[in-house]
Amino acid sequence: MSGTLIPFRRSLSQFWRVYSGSKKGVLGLILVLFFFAIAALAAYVSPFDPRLIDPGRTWLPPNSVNWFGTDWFGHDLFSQMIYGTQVSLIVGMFATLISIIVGTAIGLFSGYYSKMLGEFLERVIDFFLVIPYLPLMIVLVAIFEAMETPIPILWVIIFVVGITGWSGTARIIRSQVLTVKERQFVERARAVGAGDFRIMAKHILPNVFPLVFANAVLTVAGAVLAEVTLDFLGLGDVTTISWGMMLHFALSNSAVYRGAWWWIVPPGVAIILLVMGFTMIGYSIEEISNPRLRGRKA
Amino acid sequence: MLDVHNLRTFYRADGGYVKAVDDVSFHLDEGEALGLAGESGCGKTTAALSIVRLLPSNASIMGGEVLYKGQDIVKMSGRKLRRIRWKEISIVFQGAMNALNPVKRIADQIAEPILLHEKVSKEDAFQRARKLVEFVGIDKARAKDYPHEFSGGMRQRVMIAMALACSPRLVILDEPTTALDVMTKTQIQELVKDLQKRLTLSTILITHDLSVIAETCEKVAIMYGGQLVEYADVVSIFEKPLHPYTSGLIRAFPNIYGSRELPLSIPGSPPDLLHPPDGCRFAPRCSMADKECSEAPPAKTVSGNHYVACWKR
Amino acid sequence: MLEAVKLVDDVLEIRDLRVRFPVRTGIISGLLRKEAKFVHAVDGISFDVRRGEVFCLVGESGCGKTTTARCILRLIDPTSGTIKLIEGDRATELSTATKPEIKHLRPKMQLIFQDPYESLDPKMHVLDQLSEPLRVNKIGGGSKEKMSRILSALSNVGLIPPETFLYRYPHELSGGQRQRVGIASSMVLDPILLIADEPVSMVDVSMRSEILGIMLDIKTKSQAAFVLITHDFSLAWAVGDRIAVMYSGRIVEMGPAFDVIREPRHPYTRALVSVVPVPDPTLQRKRIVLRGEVPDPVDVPTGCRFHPRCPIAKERCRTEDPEIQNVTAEHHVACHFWQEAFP
Repeated sequence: MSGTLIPFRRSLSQFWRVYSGSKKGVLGLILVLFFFAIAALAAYVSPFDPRLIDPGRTWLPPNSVNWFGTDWFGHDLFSQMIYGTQVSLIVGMFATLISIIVGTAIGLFSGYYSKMLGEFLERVIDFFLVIPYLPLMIVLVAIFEAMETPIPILWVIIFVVGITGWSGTARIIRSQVLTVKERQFVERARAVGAGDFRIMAKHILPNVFPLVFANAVLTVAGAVLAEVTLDFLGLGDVTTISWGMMLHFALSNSAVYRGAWWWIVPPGVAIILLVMGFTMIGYSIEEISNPRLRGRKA
Repeated sequence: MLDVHNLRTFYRADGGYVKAVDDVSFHLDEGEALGLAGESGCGKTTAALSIVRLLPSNASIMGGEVLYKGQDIVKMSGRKLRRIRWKEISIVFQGAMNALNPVKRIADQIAEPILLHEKVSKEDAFQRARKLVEFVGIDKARAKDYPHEFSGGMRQRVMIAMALACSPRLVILDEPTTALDVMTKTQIQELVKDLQKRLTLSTILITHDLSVIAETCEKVAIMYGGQLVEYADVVSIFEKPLHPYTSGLIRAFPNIYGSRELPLSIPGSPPDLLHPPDGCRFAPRCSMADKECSEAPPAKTVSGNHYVACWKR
Repeated sequence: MLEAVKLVDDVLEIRDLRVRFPVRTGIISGLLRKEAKFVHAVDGISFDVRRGEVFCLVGESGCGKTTTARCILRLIDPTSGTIKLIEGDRATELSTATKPEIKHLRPKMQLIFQDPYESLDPKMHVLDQLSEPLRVNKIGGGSKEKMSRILSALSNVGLIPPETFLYRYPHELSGGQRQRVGIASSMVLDPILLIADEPVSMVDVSMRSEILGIMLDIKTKSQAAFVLITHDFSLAWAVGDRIAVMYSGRIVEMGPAFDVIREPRHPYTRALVSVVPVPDPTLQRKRIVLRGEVPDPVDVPTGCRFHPRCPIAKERCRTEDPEIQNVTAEHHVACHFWQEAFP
């Protein structure tokens, strides 16, 4: 008798009670909400237009006007940092959305259909799991850019990150689906005459959902990191204001050699904090969902 | 030999204590077979675990005493307790047959408690284990097999062998045959009876199945809602059950030598042990209950050796 | 004439049903072994179930009773044999039925599950749980009609007032209540055949009778046929009309419940009945405790499957599979020496 899985509405308030007790979880949540707030209020919080060039104020360390200093074109780095939040979060969330949808769908189908389709999909998941995602992303972005599509590069990035990040989700969902489909209430649904799609949608998916949620949060962390990497390598839109791009320009203009630590450290730290925030939330949710499922009395 | 007086064991929970065992007393002589009966949640397993003090971390004995040969187990130090556990009193847990280590041979697993509790060589322990395997009715040659090569019934025999490893005087068996088929159930029952006779063993059998108790036990204690509601020898309990729960429970078991009819049921459900009702805990489901019953916990009366906790007797 | 009457009365006719599963072997032994090994879970059973009766399939674990149940509902496919479902004057052969035919017949044959905690979807409340069968089978026109069906199904299983249960989730119900919801969700389709797989073994003893009472109520009111799968003879005694005793994939004895339990003829039945626990400490009886265990379905003994454990086995039993013989017109047994007295 596996544990009692409580329906979502009810579990939300109960869940919050337990979650708020987890230091890691609350800290992560604070970090993430902080960045969301900055992204939303960027126009109000930012002292300057991040694209404003000031040739007279280049390569300046942090000072009373430019709190984070300026870069090679005189851009105010503090403003750039603030606006950079937007890109990280947008790509993070949307790419994750794609990953989750694709991953859940493939995981669901491969777990539910055990014969040919299931086996085939399982191999597909395995394939994507072992492919090194970075080279794959680079290749895909390069192909898109070479095709000169009218699609803005930001969306290309979102798509590529999403498309390469689904396999982890798929694997987790698949193994959970394999367990759930053997449970007696699924057999009852079949006995009553429910078809495969109905069973997957109404019985298996809701019971797998808590896992999807935890995994989604962790995927966002990965997506943010992936986006930063692509930008850093110069594959993103060079006109984007993003932390990855900041790092890209910093290093390609020998910021290290010139000792301009203020151009490198803030974006780096911000990336770390944002990713850490999501990771902490994700792990907290996982911790809460799992032992509760296991520890319940039958 | 074993005297339990006013035992109270509670579990810590959100919002108070779950009064799993609330003032339970019974007595066991040498070589006697006691049946502790009741349905799920009545506290029988908790009572058993309290005797050997193997309670989970959120449970604690809040009161009473468990006298084994005169010494109170509740107040015993860790060292003394370890001398009693398994060497004097051992226990076969519920569902234990599924808790065997799959990567160890059964003889090794039986030898383990011997090695832990007595200073003997590995060789000697293994030899004793093989003898025990034979003792419980398994072919000696299979002593070196692994648990998955045995059926459920045979694994239960292994668990019994393990419980006998250090030659205890009292063995507690918690639902030992519940998951087994009726023929295997009978085989195990016969085994336990045989061992009892041969070794002058005392046993406490914990189960919800009154039929099994009727066939194997000498004394019966009926528990409900964490309390003892009736306690007598087996013939008296079945012939003249004094507590309404006991008679209700007995009538819930169909008898193939009786008339063909639907067994009776007891309406309602067991009490919430977190907030047990004042008065008799069975009153909400009792057909004979009145105001007196729901107000105060029932008086305990003893007539001869028949104890019952009911206002109506 | 008698044949025609029998046909109208029967709901289910099973003839020579066999179900076998391939045994999964490792790669190496699979390569070395030339023939695939099979588990013959059900190896040639035949029986009829009549309207308004409770037919019990009794046996120990591994005898094939659960596989039979799932096979009737086509949740598992039979290897050979026939399964006829009869509704009024129409008979459908289930073993060869196509998927759409089975889907059409699903509402007529329903399953009552053993585990009240596992057989309900924890994410669905009672109303959803009971609407699903109706929605899936497109029964019960508009939502008003569906609701009245649901409410009456809930009332029939004793969940009164039914409205108060509609939005409850499984974790808010007791084991007994969950079992009732399970039964209600089957009854909402008005089935003619109900298969109950150990319906009360996981319910508290003091509450079993209520569930059984509901089942008998349904049987009387709707004249549905019940196939009750259990290992518990006491249960079969209390509610069964006819009993079939299964051993190692075969039916070894079959007849009216009273006859099979009070006057068993097959050595296996006699042994089983003699050890059924009875709540009477003063009962004296000769218990026949068989040695050994139910045979491994992969390695079934030759001749009569029961011969290695049979107290009266003779040479013939080792080589010849016994035929089914009549003790009376209704009572059948598969044993060479059923007339012999027991030692």
